[in-house]
Amino acid sequence: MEIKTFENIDRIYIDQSAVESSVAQRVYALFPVDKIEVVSQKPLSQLEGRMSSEDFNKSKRNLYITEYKGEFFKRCPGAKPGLTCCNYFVLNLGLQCNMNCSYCYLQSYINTPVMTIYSNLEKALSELKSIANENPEKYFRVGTGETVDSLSLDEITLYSRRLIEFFKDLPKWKLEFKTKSSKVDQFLDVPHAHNVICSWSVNPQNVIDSEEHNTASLEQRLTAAEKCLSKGFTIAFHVDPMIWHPDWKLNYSNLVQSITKKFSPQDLIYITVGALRFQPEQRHIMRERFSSQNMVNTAEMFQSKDGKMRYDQNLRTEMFEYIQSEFKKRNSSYRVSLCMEVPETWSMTMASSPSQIPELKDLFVGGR
Amino acid sequence: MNLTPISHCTKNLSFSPLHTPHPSVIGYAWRGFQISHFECEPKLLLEVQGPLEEILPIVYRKLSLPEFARLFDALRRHHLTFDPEKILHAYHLKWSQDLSNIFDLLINQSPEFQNWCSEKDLGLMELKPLLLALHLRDLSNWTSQICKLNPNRHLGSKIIEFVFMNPSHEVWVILENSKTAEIAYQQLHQMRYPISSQHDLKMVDFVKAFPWPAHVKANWQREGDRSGIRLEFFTLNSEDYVKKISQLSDLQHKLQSTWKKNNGN
Ligand code: SF4
Repeated sequence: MEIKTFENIDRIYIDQSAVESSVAQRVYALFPVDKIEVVSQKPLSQLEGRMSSEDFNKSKRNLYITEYKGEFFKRCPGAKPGLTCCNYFVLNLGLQCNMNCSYCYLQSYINTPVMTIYSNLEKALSELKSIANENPEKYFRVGTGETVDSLSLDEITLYSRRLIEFFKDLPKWKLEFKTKSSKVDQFLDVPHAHNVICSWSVNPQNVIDSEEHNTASLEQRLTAAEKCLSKGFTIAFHVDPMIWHPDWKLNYSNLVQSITKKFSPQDLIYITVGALRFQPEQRHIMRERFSSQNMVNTAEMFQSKDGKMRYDQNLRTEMFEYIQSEFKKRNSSYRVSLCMEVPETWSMTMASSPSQIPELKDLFVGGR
Repeated sequence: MNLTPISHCTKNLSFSPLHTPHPSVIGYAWRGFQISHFECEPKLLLEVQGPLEEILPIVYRKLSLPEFARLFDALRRHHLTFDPEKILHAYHLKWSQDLSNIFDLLINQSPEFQNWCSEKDLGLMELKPLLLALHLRDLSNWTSQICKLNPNRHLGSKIIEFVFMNPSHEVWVILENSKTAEIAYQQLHQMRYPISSQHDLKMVDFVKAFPWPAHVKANWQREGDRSGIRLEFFTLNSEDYVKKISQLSDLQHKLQSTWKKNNGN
């Protein structure tokens, strides 16, 4: 069941520097005052770098609002050598997530006992403005769902509204929200330049039940996507991470059926497909935090060339081909591509690399 | 630093360090506790002063995780205040709740298992799967059974991982009936990777049975997330090369059809 944002936060720490921020003001308006504490230092920092799985669980219930001190605008990790990925930039607006997927890569990454929201969105926007001024010929795609889900905490921050407004003045740029939540009502009324992609990671409901705890159901995600579509937002889906299980073909076929019943190829700017992957060291915390017999922990994973654990390449190819064919047999105009995959799988699954496929070229070279 | 007769040391902090120092090397005392040479009863000890985190690295160049576990246990039993973080830091280790839980768990395992962990120098990552088994009442039976197989570090850490992910009756039977660590590992691997193991075994048979030309050595191999056929042949010169390649090419259709038939994952 999708998490109720306001009920599942035990404590909120607001850094002194962030007290005046709009997000802090919203927190004061939304939460009982006895849950809120103004701090001059990072809270619970004694746990930093030494967190147990229990501490990780708790970190999802402690919100910390602070300024981000570094540069906001970073390149997508998919752009590493050896990986084929979209030309995509990442804007981190926080760190940690209030949902709870068994495979979440944040488990190998986060070592702070709090869920952080950066309060200085305006600084991020001014960085983007400078980049736009310095590169008037270039059009960037900016995604916010890398170290925090784009929308699951948006009822608190309302950052979606500000971002959509900001991107209205950069009509050739694209803003991408990537989420597993259904929280869209808070921005549906904001005027936009038809350059906002609302995308959902989707999985069959049995996979959601087993592995994607506290996320919206498949039906809720698709309904949220329909609402966005009706307001002129662009829609995309990530069938990612595909998770093998005995009835995977049937369940993924049903997933494709659910999507295609509601969305025509023209409704969807793209569909990306990816299979389960994680850092090898992450397997311990995944087993400690979730059943060691769930789909992810019992998955037959091998270390791939890029160091990540992945399914056997033949199986991945079979899974990708299957999803592709399920979409294409319903309508050959659906645009399906791979993401975060090694080049070998690209060449086994698709005829050529993404930039050589006319229907995906625009997406990957960022010039739509 | 003073020399103290051992008779002045009323207590000892024996934590059974694995390596006994040579009797000719001087023993140490700290705050009236004998802290080294527990086995050899020296007459004189060098009384050292200062915090434990500074003393210990002088006396013991390296300590394994079970040795730390026993040391901390001994310190606690003698109600000595100490800072585990600082002691671990002196050995370039970082305290964490997980490490602390591993210490608590190690102390309750058999001396054989503890010593095996020390000898193989197992670290937190290799021992972490034990934390999944905290609920097992007979955990020490499992760990004893593992160290009876005396696996090397690599195999041992894999076995620990496979076993404690799912400590079922079938897993126990494998541990009990395997003559060597390699056999146990192979069987546990097959249990953990049933589909790929079965597929790999099937493909090994397929590659063996395939009518390769006599000059070709063919093997089914797994390399990380990829598995496939490795072909090897020796060639004398370019004519020989062309001949051998063409013999291989002649098999293309047969290979294609039979490989596909066998390859269903
Ligand atoms: S929704 Fe994304 S960020 Fe949140 S727990 Fe799941 S995988 Fe992690």
